[in-house]
Amino acid sequence: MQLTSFLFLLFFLVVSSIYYLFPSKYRWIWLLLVSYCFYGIGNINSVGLLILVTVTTWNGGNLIAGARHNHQIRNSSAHQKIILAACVLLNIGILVFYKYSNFAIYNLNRILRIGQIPPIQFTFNWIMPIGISFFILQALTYPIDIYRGKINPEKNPLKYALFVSFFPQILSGPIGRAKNMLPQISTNHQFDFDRIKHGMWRMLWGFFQKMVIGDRLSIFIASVFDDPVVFQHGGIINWIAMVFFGLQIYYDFAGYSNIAIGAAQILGYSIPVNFLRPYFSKSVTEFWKRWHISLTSWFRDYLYIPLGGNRVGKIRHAANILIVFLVSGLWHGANWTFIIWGLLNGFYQIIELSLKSVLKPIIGQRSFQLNSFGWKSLRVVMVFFLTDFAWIFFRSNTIHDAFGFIKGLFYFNPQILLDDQLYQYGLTRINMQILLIALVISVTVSWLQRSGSICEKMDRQPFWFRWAVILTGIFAILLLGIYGPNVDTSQFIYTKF
Amino acid sequence: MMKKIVSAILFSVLLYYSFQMVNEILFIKTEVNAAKDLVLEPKKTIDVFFLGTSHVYCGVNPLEIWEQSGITSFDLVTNRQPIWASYSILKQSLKQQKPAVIFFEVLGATDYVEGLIESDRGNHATHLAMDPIPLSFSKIMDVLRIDEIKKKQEMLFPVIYHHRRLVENELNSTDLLYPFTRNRNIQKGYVLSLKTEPQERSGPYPTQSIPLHPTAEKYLIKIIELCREEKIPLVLFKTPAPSSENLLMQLNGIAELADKFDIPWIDFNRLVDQIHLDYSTDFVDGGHLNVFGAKKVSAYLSQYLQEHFHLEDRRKDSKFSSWNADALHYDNRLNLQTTMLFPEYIRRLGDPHLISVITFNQSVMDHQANFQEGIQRCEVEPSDILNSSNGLICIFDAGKVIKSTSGHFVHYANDTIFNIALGISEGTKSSILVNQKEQSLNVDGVNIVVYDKDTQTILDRVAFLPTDEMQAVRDPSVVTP
Repeated sequence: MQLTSFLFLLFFLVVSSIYYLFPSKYRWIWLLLVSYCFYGIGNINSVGLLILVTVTTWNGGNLIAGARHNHQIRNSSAHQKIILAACVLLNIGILVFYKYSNFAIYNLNRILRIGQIPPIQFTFNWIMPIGISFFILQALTYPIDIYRGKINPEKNPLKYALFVSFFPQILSGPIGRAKNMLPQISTNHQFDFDRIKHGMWRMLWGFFQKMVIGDRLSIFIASVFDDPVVFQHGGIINWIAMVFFGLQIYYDFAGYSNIAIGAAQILGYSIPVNFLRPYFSKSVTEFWKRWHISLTSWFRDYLYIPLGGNRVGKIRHAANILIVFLVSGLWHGANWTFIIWGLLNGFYQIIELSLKSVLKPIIGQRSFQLNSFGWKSLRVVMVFFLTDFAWIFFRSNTIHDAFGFIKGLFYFNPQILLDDQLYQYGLTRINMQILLIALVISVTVSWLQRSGSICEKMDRQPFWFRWAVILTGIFAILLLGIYGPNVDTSQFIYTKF
Repeated sequence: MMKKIVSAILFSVLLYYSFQMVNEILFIKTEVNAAKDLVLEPKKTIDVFFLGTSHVYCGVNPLEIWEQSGITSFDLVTNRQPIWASYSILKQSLKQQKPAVIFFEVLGATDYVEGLIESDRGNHATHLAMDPIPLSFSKIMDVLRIDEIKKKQEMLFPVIYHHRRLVENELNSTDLLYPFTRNRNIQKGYVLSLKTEPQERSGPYPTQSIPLHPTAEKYLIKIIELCREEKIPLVLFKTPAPSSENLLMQLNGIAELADKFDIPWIDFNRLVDQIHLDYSTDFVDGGHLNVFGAKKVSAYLSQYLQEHFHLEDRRKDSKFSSWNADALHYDNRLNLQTTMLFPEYIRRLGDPHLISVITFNQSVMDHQANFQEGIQRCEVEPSDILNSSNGLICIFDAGKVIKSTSGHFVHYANDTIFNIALGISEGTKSSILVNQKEQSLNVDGVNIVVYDKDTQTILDRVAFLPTDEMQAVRDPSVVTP
């Protein structure tokens, strides 16, 4: 069930209305029930896997806690480590098995072909369970944090099952942490008018980002990236498509995240934000602190830091960065394009760190006041273009296509800006105008967010202003959103991962 | 807390009405938007509903029935209206009208083919019929219960189906003003067709019969049951049309079904001679009657209603005076362009649905006697024309002189239709600009441009020559040297 569908709106309206009719103590039971229904609709075959992940991680965590407190076990620490390793390996194994088996066979066959050995004539014909990359990472935070002594075990397996399957998060995150979510499940959530109102506003903003901006951009992008005839000699068109994809993936995923966070907020749950104005970042390192925060912080806490983080030698530090981005690339998809995208971002960070130490003596001098408006703006623009360039690999169907696209960037055809050629890639002039206005609105909102919550700012406005903004928002989505019959852009990019 | 709840309720009400308004702007308008058109009729004023498809809106003229019998009726029809949409529209309409009898034209049942539901044609036709019905609990229940409507979200929220019309520049001023206009459908759902295309008469009726498709039969029975629940007599009928043998056998099947349910059945294909239908002059195309054919069918239905249902003649009832005005306007739409006599023409301009701009050149005064009657109707003093150095301009709106001037030009804007008329009468010249476009024939005499407020089109451009014959001219090249 897509979060931008009318079916989801109807489902959510019914679910949240009934939710508040339950006594607050038992509301989590209703949420568990509807979360499984939500996941089961269209993915009934994957429900067993969800239960498997839930059972193994819950038991893993509780066994670790049991081993810690069982004084009869001689080497408790090693025992806990073995349980954790088994739990992590099993669950990561499930993820790898579903996600990378065919990719592994494909690459193995390429190697076999070099050695002129007959290839393996076998592929797995399964559909990857939706949300698997998200809920496995979310579930693993439980045994790991218990092992680290950061949380106590959850005694109620059903409450734990809700943590893994919580419907606003299960499809594409934001990836929650056991230490944040489990206490909320045991909290009695009261009906809070303002919180619900703010949740609805956040959802509305998410719909706007996804349906008015993200999906509109995707039309142009698809007509360029999916057509070699266009991108091989695209020139200016390729530059626009590259920038548009950087924007699309942001508005698509930030839109999704806002809908999920807003929905959870309506139900009384607080999920941390996933994006913090990433395209205002002044360095690639900063960008990755603001982009898909729930995933990058997961990799930071559960991969980068265990590898030694930055408290190691320079070469090891660089290797750690590359490992994290390689895994991050692989996490996004079983394709070399994602691996290159990840490594490219890793190299950006390594170069950035190197430059920082090389330029250290001159930073701060009169011409190198990096916090001046001019330098800040240049850094923001540079980070924007570097990340956009990396997205080329992320969006291209094959590496060959990606290099073809990059080659097309150097095709010189600025004259197309002077005629109507720009409007031949799926977006008419009026659509481009709508896009421009929507982007200006979005940037303005981001700008306003710098000085505090938009919801609080709205609350300070008179009712007629709030009503006018909300009504305008609703009708902007209804009238200008890309949806309806024969529209195939509604799927969120990240639900594929 | 109470304040917040009240505020949320008020916001929801505002949202609902805004949503309705957006739907009304977006859905596709045709000449007939049955459900919305009927809403604009005063409650409980319609005696007879005619349900069906385009064969009804081309073949049954409620104003003919009114003129002949004083019975009020309405064609509750849109183009290719599917039978399940007819059922739903009937159900919704019975909430505001209590007709004494309902007629159902059976083409919607016989026309049903396998796959219609899934086809774009079926989906589009259902939208045409259902979109004008405002969102209500009863519409929601209907859409949910009608299995044949597959895309229920789109049917309940037409904005999903139509929203791209905005971005694709399909919307025009009619769409944008639609929620704010309350123009009744003066032809009561009837669509005037003047075109003629000779047709072949159907062959003899076969003796065999074919049953209806189960889906079509299901909804026909639902209509029958609904009428019984509401205690309203139902009559099944079929307008005359060249028919295949297969269709004639289906009509035999319907006759059997009507017999089974004890419902009157009128098959006009069997009454062709009785109503003097002429296949060479009375059809627009292979299925639809033109104005002449509709007149004959409507005359028969009028008589049938009088004989079988004894409905009241409302022509002299002041509550129904708008029907007389509507009848006059319909008559104007039909006959104004062929009216040749000046006094008669001016009488017709009393139609409240018309705005007319009339310029008198001074040459008119030479033939004062001939024009006197017409001029008097215009409330123009002959001396005004005589004293004017630049002739005279009059603007008629709803049968009254709104402006009359001997000046150089006059400007008039009617805020309800957003029309601007500008007339200049200078010596022997006449210029009448409507929406900045020249419409005057510029003939020396009386030049008239007639604007139909309902259709927002020019209904007629005519000039009357200052001769003893008071000849009407519609082609200026005849008199221009």
